[in-house]
Amino acid sequence: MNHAELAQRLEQLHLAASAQCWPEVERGMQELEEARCRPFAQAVRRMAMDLQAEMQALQLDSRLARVAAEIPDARSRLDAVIQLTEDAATQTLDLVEDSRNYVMRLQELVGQGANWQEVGAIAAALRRNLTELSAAQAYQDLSGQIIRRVIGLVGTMEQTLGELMNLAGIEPLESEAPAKGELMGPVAGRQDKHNAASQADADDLLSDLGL
Amino acid sequence: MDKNTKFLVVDDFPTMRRIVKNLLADLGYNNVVEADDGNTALPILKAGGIQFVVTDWNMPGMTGIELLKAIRSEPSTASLPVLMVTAEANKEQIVEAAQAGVSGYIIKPFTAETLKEKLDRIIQRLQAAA
Repeated sequence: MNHAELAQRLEQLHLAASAQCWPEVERGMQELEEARCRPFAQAVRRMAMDLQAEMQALQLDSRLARVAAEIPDARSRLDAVIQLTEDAATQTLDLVEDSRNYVMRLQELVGQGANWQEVGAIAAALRRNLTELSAAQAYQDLSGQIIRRVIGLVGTMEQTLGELMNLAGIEPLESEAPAKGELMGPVAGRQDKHNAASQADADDLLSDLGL
Repeated sequence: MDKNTKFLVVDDFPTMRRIVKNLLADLGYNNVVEADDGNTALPILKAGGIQFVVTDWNMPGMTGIELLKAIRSEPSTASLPVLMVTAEANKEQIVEAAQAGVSGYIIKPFTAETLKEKLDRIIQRLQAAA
C-alpha cells in the first residue's frame, strides 16, 4: 500500500468515525493492520523455507531427528552405568569387609598360637575373595563401552548443533564461568580446570587461612 | 582421642558412607552413625552424643556447607569438629568452607592415609585447645 492509498483509507476511516459507523471503522483498522504486517510475514516465511531447504541439503534435518531419537537410549544406558558401578562397589565392599574379618581372626590366632587347620581354611577363603574381587572389576569394561557409545552420540550432537548454529548465524559462546554457588562436581575430566585445587593446594590454602 | 568417639558420617551415596565407615573402623573408631543429607543429620545432632562430623558437600536436600553453618550457629554443636570430604575442589569453595568454620577439607577421591592425617591433625588441635 503506497502513501496515497494510505491517506485515502485514513480519510475514509475518519469519515466513518465521524458518522459513528463503528463496525466499518473496526474493519478498516483491521485491513490496515494486515496490509502493514504482510511483507514481514512473507519475509519470515521465506526465511523459514530457505532454512529448511538448506537443512535438507546438508541432511541436518534427518541427522537431528536421529540424534533426538537416540537420546532416550543414551539416558537409560547412563543410568545403567550408575547401577553397574554401584553394584560393583557394593560387591567389592562386601568382599573387603568379609576378608577383613578373616584377617582379624588370623591376628587373633597369631596371638593364641596357630591352629594350622583354621589358618588353612582362612587362606582358602581369602583366596576366594581375591578371585571375586578381581571378577567384580568387569564393570569397568561394561561401563567403558556404554560411555564410549554415549560420547559418540554427544559428538554427533555437537557437530549437528554447530552446523545448525552456523546456518542460523549464531556465534558459539566461550564456555562461561560457573554461576556463584553452583557446584562443579569432580575435577576429573573437566575441561575448565580453572581454580581447581589438589589436596596439596587445599592444605596450603587452609594453612594460609590459619587452619 | 578416645576410640569410642561417636562419629556422624553424612553422604548421599551409601557406598561412600560405607567406605568412610570402614576406614574409620581400620583406625579403631567403631562408633559411627550415618545420615544421607543435612536434613537427616540435624535431628541426630540435636539428639546429642555426636563428637565428630564427617560430611560431603553436594547432597540433595540440605548440602554439607549448609549443615556446617547450621552446626556452627547452634550453641550446643558450635564447637564440634566437622571434616568436609567432597569432590568439590574449587578454591572459592575451600575458602567458603574455611570461613564457615570447617575443621578439615578432603578432596575426593582420597586415600586412607589422607583421612588418617586430617583426623589426627583435628584431634591434636582439639586436645591442644582442651
